[in-house]
Amino acid sequence: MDIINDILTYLSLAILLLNIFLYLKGYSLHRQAVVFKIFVLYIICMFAVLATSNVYAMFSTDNLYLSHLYFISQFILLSLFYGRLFTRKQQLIAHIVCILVLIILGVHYFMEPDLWYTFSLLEVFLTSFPLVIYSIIHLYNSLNKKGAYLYINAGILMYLSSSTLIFLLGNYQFGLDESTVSNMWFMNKVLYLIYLLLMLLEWKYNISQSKHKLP
Amino acid sequence: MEIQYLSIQTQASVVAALVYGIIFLVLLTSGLLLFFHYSRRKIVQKEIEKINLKLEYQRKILRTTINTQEEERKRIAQDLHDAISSKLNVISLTANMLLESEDLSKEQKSSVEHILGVTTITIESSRKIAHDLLPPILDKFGLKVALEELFDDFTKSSHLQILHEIQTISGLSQTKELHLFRIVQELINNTVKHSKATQMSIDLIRKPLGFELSCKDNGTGFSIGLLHKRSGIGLQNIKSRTVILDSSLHIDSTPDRGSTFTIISPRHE
Repeated sequence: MDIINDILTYLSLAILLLNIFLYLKGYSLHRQAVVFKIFVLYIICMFAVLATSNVYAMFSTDNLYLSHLYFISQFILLSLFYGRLFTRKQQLIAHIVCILVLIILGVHYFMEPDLWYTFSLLEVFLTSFPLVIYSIIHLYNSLNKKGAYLYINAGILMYLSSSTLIFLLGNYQFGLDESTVSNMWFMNKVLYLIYLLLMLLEWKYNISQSKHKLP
Repeated sequence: MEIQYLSIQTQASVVAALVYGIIFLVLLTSGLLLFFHYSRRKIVQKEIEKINLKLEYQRKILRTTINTQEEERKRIAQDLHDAISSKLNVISLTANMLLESEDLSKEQKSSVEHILGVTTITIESSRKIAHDLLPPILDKFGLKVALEELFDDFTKSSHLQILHEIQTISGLSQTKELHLFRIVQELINNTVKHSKATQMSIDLIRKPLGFELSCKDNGTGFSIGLLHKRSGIGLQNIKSRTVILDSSLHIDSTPDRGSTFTIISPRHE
Protein backbone atom coordinates (compact mmCIF):
# COMPACT_ATOMS: atom_id res chain seq x y z
CA MET A 1 0.00 0.00 0.00
CA ASP A 2 2.90 2.33 0.81
CA ILE A 3 4.36 1.85 -2.65
CA ILE A 4 1.00 2.68 -4.30
CA ASN A 5 0.64 5.70 -2.04
CA ASP A 6 4.12 6.90 -3.02
CA ILE A 7 3.44 6.31 -6.71
CA LEU A 8 0.20 8.30 -6.45
CA THR A 9 2.00 11.14 -4.63
CA TYR A 10 4.73 11.44 -7.24
CA LEU A 11 2.29 10.91 -10.12
CA SER A 12 0.11 13.75 -8.77
CA LEU A 13 3.12 16.03 -8.47
CA ALA A 14 4.25 15.11 -11.99
CA ILE A 15 0.80 15.76 -13.50
CA LEU A 16 0.49 19.01 -11.56
CA LEU A 17 3.90 20.06 -12.91
CA LEU A 18 2.82 19.05 -16.42
CA ASN A 19 -0.36 21.11 -16.00
CA ILE A 20 1.69 24.14 -14.91
CA PHE A 21 3.94 23.72 -17.95
CA LEU A 22 0.99 23.35 -20.37
CA TYR A 23 -0.99 26.19 -18.83
CA LEU A 24 2.04 28.48 -18.99
CA LYS A 25 2.48 27.44 -22.62
CA GLY A 26 -1.14 28.43 -23.28
CA TYR A 27 -0.48 31.79 -21.61
CA SER A 28 0.60 33.39 -24.90
CA LEU A 29 -2.78 32.46 -26.46
CA HIS A 30 -4.82 34.01 -23.65
CA ARG A 31 -2.90 37.10 -22.56
CA GLN A 32 -6.10 39.05 -21.84
CA ALA A 33 -7.75 36.29 -19.78
CA VAL A 34 -7.65 37.42 -16.13
CA VAL A 35 -9.47 34.31 -14.80
CA PHE A 36 -6.96 32.11 -16.59
CA LYS A 37 -4.07 34.00 -14.96
CA ILE A 38 -5.65 33.52 -11.50
CA PHE A 39 -5.98 29.80 -12.13
CA VAL A 40 -2.36 29.51 -13.29
CA LEU A 41 -1.29 31.29 -10.09
CA TYR A 42 -3.46 28.85 -8.10
CA ILE A 43 -1.87 25.71 -9.58
CA ILE A 44 1.62 27.17 -9.07
CA CYS A 45 0.77 27.85 -5.38
CA MET A 46 -0.64 24.34 -5.00
CA PHE A 47 2.50 22.83 -6.48
CA ALA A 48 4.72 24.91 -4.16
CA VAL A 49 2.74 23.80 -1.05
CA LEU A 50 2.59 20.12 -2.08
CA ALA A 51 6.25 19.95 -3.07
CA THR A 52 7.34 21.63 0.19
CA SER A 53 5.14 19.35 2.32
CA ASN A 54 6.57 16.28 0.55
CA VAL A 55 10.14 17.47 1.16
CA TYR A 56 9.28 18.03 4.86
CA ALA A 57 7.69 14.57 5.03
CA MET A 58 10.85 13.06 3.52
CA PHE A 59 12.91 14.53 6.38
CA SER A 60 10.19 13.57 8.90
CA THR A 61 9.64 17.23 9.78
CA ASP A 62 6.18 18.33 10.93
CA ASN A 63 4.42 19.78 7.88
CA LEU A 64 0.92 20.10 9.28
CA TYR A 65 1.00 23.91 9.42
CA LEU A 66 1.42 23.89 5.62
CA SER A 67 -2.18 22.64 5.39
CA HIS A 68 -3.35 26.07 6.59
CA LEU A 69 -1.38 27.70 3.81
CA TYR A 70 -2.93 25.21 1.39
CA PHE A 71 -6.53 25.79 2.49
CA ILE A 72 -6.30 29.57 2.84
CA SER A 73 -4.41 30.21 -0.43
CA GLN A 74 -6.77 27.80 -2.26
CA PHE A 75 -9.78 29.59 -0.82
CA ILE A 76 -8.55 33.10 -1.74
CA LEU A 77 -7.43 32.22 -5.27
CA LEU A 78 -10.47 30.11 -6.15
CA SER A 79 -12.78 32.79 -4.68
CA LEU A 80 -11.14 35.28 -7.05
CA PHE A 81 -11.38 32.73 -9.88
CA TYR A 82 -15.13 32.24 -9.39
CA GLY A 83 -15.72 35.90 -8.55
CA ARG A 84 -14.47 36.84 -12.02
CA LEU A 85 -16.76 34.26 -13.65
CA PHE A 86 -19.84 35.38 -11.72
CA THR A 87 -22.36 38.13 -12.38
CA ARG A 88 -21.75 41.46 -10.64
CA LYS A 89 -24.08 40.67 -7.73
CA GLN A 90 -22.67 37.17 -7.21
CA GLN A 91 -19.14 38.59 -7.42
CA LEU A 92 -19.94 41.04 -4.61
CA ILE A 93 -21.30 38.22 -2.43
CA ALA A 94 -18.18 36.09 -3.12
CA HIS A 95 -15.93 38.98 -2.10
CA ILE A 96 -17.91 39.61 1.10
CA VAL A 97 -17.79 35.87 1.98
CA CYS A 98 -14.03 35.82 1.32
CA ILE A 99 -13.40 38.78 3.65
CA LEU A 100 -15.71 37.36 6.38
CA VAL A 101 -14.03 33.92 6.30
CA LEU A 102 -10.57 35.50 6.53
CA ILE A 103 -11.67 37.67 9.49
CA ILE A 104 -13.20 34.65 11.30
CA LEU A 105 -10.05 32.56 10.73
CA GLY A 106 -7.82 35.45 11.82
CA VAL A 107 -9.75 35.79 15.09
CA HIS A 108 -9.81 31.98 15.48
CA TYR A 109 -6.02 31.60 15.25
CA PHE A 110 -5.43 34.72 17.33
CA MET A 111 -7.56 33.29 20.15
CA GLU A 112 -6.10 29.77 19.93
CA PRO A 113 -2.60 29.82 18.36
CA ASP A 114 -2.10 26.12 19.20
CA LEU A 115 -4.59 25.23 16.48
CA TRP A 116 -1.92 26.23 13.95
CA TYR A 117 -0.27 22.84 14.57
CA THR A 118 -3.42 20.72 14.12
CA PHE A 119 -6.12 20.33 11.53
CA SER A 120 -8.64 23.04 12.17
CA LEU A 121 -12.09 21.70 11.40
CA LEU A 122 -13.49 25.22 11.26
CA GLU A 123 -10.87 26.22 8.71
CA VAL A 124 -11.46 23.13 6.54
CA PHE A 125 -15.20 23.78 6.56
CA LEU A 126 -15.05 27.56 6.03
CA THR A 127 -12.53 27.40 3.19
CA SER A 128 -14.05 24.43 1.33
CA PHE A 129 -17.81 24.77 1.67
CA PRO A 130 -18.09 28.20 -0.06
CA LEU A 131 -15.97 26.88 -2.96
CA VAL A 132 -18.32 23.91 -3.43
CA ILE A 133 -21.26 26.35 -3.45
CA TYR A 134 -19.43 28.60 -5.96
CA SER A 135 -18.86 25.66 -8.29
CA ILE A 136 -22.59 24.80 -8.17
CA ILE A 137 -23.47 28.47 -8.86
CA HIS A 138 -21.08 28.41 -11.82
CA LEU A 139 -22.79 25.29 -13.16
CA TYR A 140 -26.15 27.03 -12.82
CA ASN A 141 -24.82 30.16 -14.59
CA SER A 142 -23.51 28.00 -17.45
CA LEU A 143 -26.83 26.25 -18.10
CA ASN A 144 -27.98 28.42 -21.00
CA LYS A 145 -24.67 29.64 -22.37
CA LYS A 146 -21.25 28.38 -23.31
CA GLY A 147 -19.74 27.98 -19.87
CA ALA A 148 -16.06 28.57 -19.20
CA TYR A 149 -13.69 26.20 -17.37
CA LEU A 150 -16.35 23.50 -16.98
CA TYR A 151 -13.86 20.61 -16.66
CA ILE A 152 -11.98 22.47 -13.93
CA ASN A 153 -15.27 23.29 -12.24
CA ALA A 154 -16.34 19.62 -12.30
CA GLY A 155 -12.97 18.69 -10.78
CA ILE A 156 -13.29 21.30 -8.04
CA LEU A 157 -16.83 20.20 -7.19
CA MET A 158 -15.97 16.51 -7.04
CA TYR A 159 -12.60 16.84 -5.30
CA LEU A 160 -13.46 19.52 -2.76
CA SER A 161 -16.76 18.01 -1.64
CA SER A 162 -15.20 14.57 -1.09
CA SER A 163 -11.80 15.61 0.23
CA THR A 164 -13.40 17.98 2.74
CA LEU A 165 -14.79 14.91 4.49
CA ILE A 166 -11.31 13.35 4.66
CA PHE A 167 -9.77 16.56 5.98
CA LEU A 168 -12.56 16.96 8.54
CA LEU A 169 -11.53 13.57 9.92
CA GLY A 170 -7.87 14.62 9.77
CA ASN A 171 -7.52 15.00 13.53
CA TYR A 172 -8.65 11.41 14.04
CA GLN A 173 -5.50 10.13 12.37
CA PHE A 174 -3.65 10.42 15.65
CA GLY A 175 -5.99 7.86 17.14
CA LEU A 176 -5.81 5.44 14.21
CA ASP A 177 -3.10 2.95 13.27
CA GLU A 178 -0.80 3.73 10.36
CA SER A 179 -2.45 1.53 7.74
CA THR A 180 -5.86 3.10 8.40
CA VAL A 181 -4.38 6.58 8.06
CA SER A 182 -2.65 5.47 4.88
CA ASN A 183 -5.98 4.24 3.47
CA MET A 184 -7.61 7.58 4.28
CA TRP A 185 -4.97 9.55 2.36
CA PHE A 186 -5.00 7.03 -0.47
CA MET A 187 -8.61 7.96 -1.19
CA ASN A 188 -7.71 11.64 -1.13
CA LYS A 189 -4.84 11.07 -3.56
CA VAL A 190 -7.08 9.20 -6.03
CA LEU A 191 -9.61 12.04 -5.95
CA TYR A 192 -6.85 14.60 -6.39
CA LEU A 193 -5.53 12.69 -9.39
CA ILE A 194 -8.99 12.79 -10.98
CA TYR A 195 -9.07 16.56 -10.36
CA LEU A 196 -5.66 16.97 -12.05
CA LEU A 197 -6.76 14.86 -15.02
CA LEU A 198 -9.84 17.07 -15.44
CA MET A 199 -7.48 20.08 -15.47
CA LEU A 200 -5.57 18.35 -18.25
CA LEU A 201 -8.82 17.84 -20.20
CA GLU A 202 -9.60 21.55 -19.77
CA TRP A 203 -6.24 22.36 -21.32
CA LYS A 204 -6.74 19.92 -24.20
CA TYR A 205 -10.24 21.03 -25.19
CA ASN A 206 -10.22 24.74 -24.37
CA ILE A 207 -6.93 26.28 -23.33
CA SER A 208 -4.76 24.85 -26.10
CA GLN A 209 -7.23 26.11 -28.73
CA SER A 210 -6.57 29.70 -29.72
CA LYS A 211 -10.08 30.02 -31.21
CA HIS A 212 -11.61 29.73 -27.72
CA LYS A 213 -11.70 33.14 -26.09
CA LEU A 214 -11.30 32.59 -22.36
CA PRO A 215 -12.48 34.99 -19.68
CA MET B 1 2.36 13.32 24.00
CA GLU B 2 0.69 10.05 24.83
CA ILE B 3 -1.43 8.79 22.02
CA GLN B 4 -4.37 6.62 22.93
CA TYR B 5 -5.16 4.30 20.04
CA LEU B 6 -8.80 3.66 19.28
CA SER B 7 -10.00 0.08 19.43
CA ILE B 8 -9.85 -1.92 16.19
CA GLN B 9 -13.65 -1.96 16.02
CA THR B 10 -13.83 1.84 16.29
CA GLN B 11 -11.10 2.20 13.66
CA ALA B 12 -12.98 -0.06 11.29
CA SER B 13 -16.20 1.90 11.80
CA VAL B 14 -14.39 5.21 11.18
CA VAL B 15 -12.90 3.88 7.94
CA ALA B 16 -16.26 2.43 6.85
CA ALA B 17 -18.02 5.74 7.59
CA LEU B 18 -15.35 7.55 5.63
CA VAL B 19 -15.54 5.21 2.62
CA TYR B 20 -19.32 5.38 2.49
CA GLY B 21 -19.24 9.13 2.99
CA ILE B 22 -16.81 9.60 0.12
CA ILE B 23 -18.70 7.23 -2.18
CA PHE B 24 -21.89 9.11 -1.35
CA LEU B 25 -20.31 12.47 -2.11
CA VAL B 26 -18.66 11.28 -5.35
CA LEU B 27 -21.98 9.84 -6.53
CA LEU B 28 -23.82 12.98 -5.48
CA THR B 29 -21.46 15.31 -7.35
CA SER B 30 -21.41 12.99 -10.38
CA GLY B 31 -25.22 13.03 -10.37
CA LEU B 32 -25.19 16.79 -10.12
CA LEU B 33 -22.76 17.05 -13.05
CA LEU B 34 -24.85 14.65 -15.15
CA PHE B 35 -28.01 16.59 -14.30
CA PHE B 36 -26.27 19.80 -15.36
CA HIS B 37 -25.01 18.19 -18.58
CA TYR B 38 -28.43 16.92 -19.68
CA SER B 39 -30.31 20.06 -18.58
CA ARG B 40 -27.84 22.16 -20.52
CA ARG B 41 -28.27 19.99 -23.63
CA LYS B 42 -32.04 20.33 -23.37
CA ILE B 43 -31.85 24.10 -22.94
CA VAL B 44 -29.44 24.48 -25.88
CA GLN B 45 -31.75 22.33 -28.02
CA LYS B 46 -34.72 24.58 -27.12
CA GLU B 47 -32.64 27.66 -27.93
CA ILE B 48 -31.73 26.19 -31.33
CA GLU B 49 -35.39 25.44 -32.01
CA LYS B 50 -36.27 29.03 -31.09
CA ILE B 51 -33.57 30.44 -33.39
CA ASN B 52 -34.68 28.16 -36.24
CA LEU B 53 -38.25 29.32 -35.80
CA LYS B 54 -37.09 32.93 -35.88
CA LEU B 55 -35.02 32.27 -39.00
CA GLU B 56 -37.95 30.56 -40.70
CA TYR B 57 -40.15 33.54 -39.86
CA GLN B 58 -37.56 35.96 -41.28
CA ARG B 59 -37.28 33.82 -44.41
CA LYS B 60 -41.06 33.93 -44.79
CA ILE B 61 -41.07 37.73 -44.48
CA LEU B 62 -38.25 37.94 -47.03
CA ARG B 63 -40.10 35.68 -49.45
CA THR B 64 -43.28 37.72 -49.09
CA THR B 65 -41.37 41.01 -49.54
CA ILE B 66 -39.64 39.86 -52.71
CA ASN B 67 -42.83 38.34 -54.10
CA THR B 68 -44.73 41.57 -53.36
CA GLN B 69 -41.94 43.52 -55.03
CA GLU B 70 -42.23 41.35 -58.14
CA GLU B 71 -46.05 41.70 -58.15
CA GLU B 72 -45.71 45.45 -57.90
CA ARG B 73 -43.16 45.53 -60.71
CA LYS B 74 -45.52 43.50 -62.87
CA ARG B 75 -48.41 45.86 -62.09
CA ILE B 76 -46.35 48.97 -62.88
CA ALA B 77 -45.09 47.40 -66.13
CA GLN B 78 -48.67 46.53 -67.09
CA ASP B 79 -49.91 50.04 -66.23
CA LEU B 80 -47.07 51.61 -68.18
CA HIS B 81 -48.01 49.51 -71.18
CA ASP B 82 -51.80 49.82 -70.93
CA ALA B 83 -52.34 53.32 -69.60
CA ILE B 84 -49.33 55.40 -70.62
CA SER B 85 -47.83 53.82 -73.74
CA SER B 86 -51.23 53.39 -75.42
CA LYS B 87 -52.17 57.04 -74.72
CA LEU B 88 -48.80 58.20 -75.99
CA ASN B 89 -49.37 56.15 -79.15
CA VAL B 90 -52.67 58.00 -79.64
CA ILE B 91 -50.82 61.34 -79.27
CA SER B 92 -48.21 60.15 -81.75
CA LEU B 93 -50.86 59.08 -84.29
CA THR B 94 -52.74 62.36 -83.90
CA ALA B 95 -49.52 64.32 -84.34
CA ASN B 96 -48.75 62.36 -87.52
CA MET B 97 -52.23 63.09 -88.85
CA LEU B 98 -51.80 66.77 -88.06
CA LEU B 99 -48.49 66.82 -89.91
CA GLU B 100 -50.22 65.59 -93.04
CA SER B 101 -52.68 68.51 -92.89
CA GLU B 102 -51.96 71.36 -95.33
CA ASP B 103 -53.68 74.03 -93.20
CA LEU B 104 -50.78 74.25 -90.74
CA SER B 105 -48.29 77.08 -90.86
CA LYS B 106 -44.54 76.43 -90.83
CA GLU B 107 -44.23 77.28 -87.08
CA GLN B 108 -47.19 75.07 -86.23
CA LYS B 109 -45.69 72.15 -88.20
CA SER B 110 -42.40 72.59 -86.38
CA SER B 111 -44.21 72.48 -83.01
CA VAL B 112 -46.14 69.34 -84.00
CA GLU B 113 -42.87 67.72 -85.14
CA HIS B 114 -41.36 68.58 -81.78
CA ILE B 115 -44.36 67.01 -79.98
CA LEU B 116 -44.00 63.92 -82.17
CA GLY B 117 -40.28 63.63 -81.39
CA VAL B 118 -40.77 63.98 -77.61
CA THR B 119 -43.68 61.52 -77.71
CA THR B 120 -41.60 58.93 -79.62
CA ILE B 121 -38.76 59.24 -77.09
CA THR B 122 -41.21 58.94 -74.18
CA ILE B 123 -42.86 55.85 -75.75
CA GLU B 124 -39.40 54.26 -76.14
CA SER B 125 -38.44 55.12 -72.51
CA SER B 126 -41.71 53.79 -71.16
CA ARG B 127 -41.23 50.56 -73.18
CA LYS B 128 -37.69 50.21 -71.83
CA ILE B 129 -38.80 50.81 -68.23
CA ALA B 130 -41.62 48.27 -68.59
CA HIS B 131 -39.17 45.80 -70.14
CA ASP B 132 -36.69 46.26 -67.29
CA LEU B 133 -39.43 45.88 -64.70
CA LEU B 134 -40.64 42.63 -66.20
CA PRO B 135 -39.16 41.22 -69.41
CA PRO B 136 -42.21 40.15 -71.45
CA ILE B 137 -40.11 37.54 -73.18
CA LEU B 138 -39.78 35.63 -69.89
CA ASP B 139 -43.53 35.22 -69.70
CA LYS B 140 -43.92 34.38 -73.39
CA PHE B 141 -40.87 32.24 -74.23
CA GLY B 142 -39.41 31.10 -70.91
CA LEU B 143 -36.12 31.47 -69.04
CA LYS B 144 -33.69 30.20 -71.71
CA VAL B 145 -34.78 32.76 -74.34
CA ALA B 146 -35.06 35.58 -71.76
CA LEU B 147 -31.51 34.92 -70.54
CA GLU B 148 -30.15 34.79 -74.11
CA GLU B 149 -31.80 38.12 -74.82
CA LEU B 150 -30.32 39.53 -71.59
CA PHE B 151 -26.82 38.37 -72.62
CA ASP B 152 -27.27 39.98 -76.08
CA ASP B 153 -28.35 43.27 -74.47
CA PHE B 154 -25.30 43.34 -72.19
CA THR B 155 -22.89 42.28 -74.96
CA LYS B 156 -24.18 45.11 -77.18
CA SER B 157 -24.08 47.80 -74.49
CA SER B 158 -20.72 46.92 -72.86
CA HIS B 159 -17.33 45.40 -73.66
CA LEU B 160 -18.28 42.22 -71.83
CA GLN B 161 -18.25 38.99 -73.80
CA ILE B 162 -20.67 36.42 -72.37
CA LEU B 163 -20.14 32.73 -73.16
CA HIS B 164 -23.11 30.64 -72.12
CA GLU B 165 -24.73 27.26 -71.99
CA ILE B 166 -28.34 27.44 -70.88
CA GLN B 167 -30.27 24.21 -70.60
CA THR B 168 -34.03 24.12 -70.28
CA ILE B 169 -35.06 23.20 -66.75
CA SER B 170 -38.41 21.51 -66.90
CA GLY B 171 -40.89 21.86 -64.08
CA LEU B 172 -39.51 25.20 -62.87
CA SER B 173 -42.37 27.50 -61.85
CA GLN B 174 -42.70 30.99 -63.39
CA THR B 175 -41.86 32.62 -60.06
CA LYS B 176 -38.68 30.55 -59.71
CA GLU B 177 -37.72 31.34 -63.32
CA LEU B 178 -38.12 35.02 -62.54
CA HIS B 179 -35.90 34.70 -59.41
CA LEU B 180 -33.21 32.93 -61.45
CA PHE B 181 -33.46 35.59 -64.14
CA ARG B 182 -33.06 38.35 -61.53
CA ILE B 183 -30.05 36.59 -59.98
CA VAL B 184 -28.28 36.34 -63.36
CA GLN B 185 -29.21 39.97 -64.14
CA GLU B 186 -27.76 41.11 -60.79
CA LEU B 187 -24.59 39.05 -61.26
CA ILE B 188 -23.94 40.50 -64.72
CA ASN B 189 -24.70 44.01 -63.40
CA ASN B 190 -22.16 43.51 -60.57
CA THR B 191 -19.54 42.21 -62.99
CA VAL B 192 -19.98 45.18 -65.33
CA LYS B 193 -19.98 47.68 -62.44
CA HIS B 194 -17.18 46.38 -60.22
CA SER B 195 -14.99 43.69 -61.73
CA LYS B 196 -13.60 45.20 -64.98
CA ALA B 197 -14.06 41.75 -66.52
CA THR B 198 -13.84 41.24 -70.29
CA GLN B 199 -15.25 37.77 -70.36
CA MET B 200 -17.95 35.98 -68.46
CA SER B 201 -19.12 32.41 -68.65
CA ILE B 202 -22.65 31.57 -67.50
CA ASP B 203 -23.96 28.02 -67.40
CA LEU B 204 -27.33 26.75 -66.28
CA ILE B 205 -27.09 22.99 -66.12
CA ARG B 206 -29.92 20.56 -65.47
CA LYS B 207 -29.30 18.02 -62.70
CA PRO B 208 -31.28 14.81 -62.01
CA LEU B 209 -33.56 16.59 -59.53
CA GLY B 210 -32.45 20.21 -59.53
CA PHE B 211 -30.10 22.53 -61.38
CA GLU B 212 -26.76 24.29 -61.08
CA LEU B 213 -26.13 27.85 -62.15
CA SER B 214 -22.55 29.04 -62.37
CA CYS B 215 -21.28 32.50 -63.31
CA LYS B 216 -17.55 32.92 -63.74
CA ASP B 217 -15.67 36.06 -64.75
CA ASN B 218 -12.06 37.04 -65.40
CA GLY B 219 -12.32 40.33 -63.49
CA THR B 220 -10.46 41.80 -60.54
CA GLY B 221 -12.07 39.47 -57.97
CA PHE B 222 -12.33 40.30 -54.28
CA SER B 223 -11.51 39.05 -50.82
CA ILE B 224 -14.14 36.64 -49.45
CA GLY B 225 -13.35 37.82 -45.89
CA LEU B 226 -14.29 41.38 -46.80
CA LEU B 227 -17.45 40.18 -48.51
CA HIS B 228 -18.62 38.48 -45.30
CA LYS B 229 -18.10 41.73 -43.39
CA ARG B 230 -20.07 43.94 -45.77
CA SER B 231 -22.05 42.94 -48.79
CA GLY B 232 -24.04 45.36 -50.93
CA ILE B 233 -27.76 45.41 -51.62
CA GLY B 234 -27.20 43.53 -54.90
CA LEU B 235 -25.53 40.59 -53.22
CA GLN B 236 -28.08 40.61 -50.39
CA ASN B 237 -30.76 40.37 -53.04
CA ILE B 238 -29.01 37.40 -54.65
CA LYS B 239 -28.70 35.68 -51.26
CA SER B 240 -32.38 36.27 -50.46
CA ARG B 241 -33.50 34.90 -53.81
CA THR B 242 -31.22 31.89 -53.37
CA VAL B 243 -32.95 31.17 -50.06
CA ILE B 244 -36.35 31.47 -51.74
CA LEU B 245 -35.19 28.97 -54.38
CA ASP B 246 -34.20 26.56 -51.56
CA SER B 247 -30.70 26.55 -53.01
CA SER B 248 -27.21 27.18 -51.73
CA LEU B 249 -24.88 29.94 -52.89
CA HIS B 250 -21.13 29.34 -53.11
CA ILE B 251 -18.76 32.19 -53.79
CA ASP B 252 -15.17 31.62 -54.78
CA SER B 253 -12.91 34.57 -55.46
CA THR B 254 -9.38 35.83 -54.95
CA PRO B 255 -8.14 39.34 -55.75
CA ASP B 256 -6.94 39.65 -59.39
CA ARG B 257 -8.09 36.15 -60.25
CA GLY B 258 -11.76 36.63 -61.06
CA SER B 259 -14.71 35.18 -59.23
CA THR B 260 -17.19 32.34 -59.48
CA PHE B 261 -20.73 32.31 -58.12
CA THR B 262 -22.43 28.93 -58.03
CA ILE B 263 -26.03 28.31 -57.10
CA ILE B 264 -26.97 24.72 -56.50
CA SER B 265 -30.55 23.62 -56.16
CA PRO B 266 -30.76 20.00 -55.05
CA ARG B 267 -34.47 19.78 -55.87
CA HIS B 268 -36.63 22.40 -57.52
CA GLU B 269 -40.09 20.87 -57.46
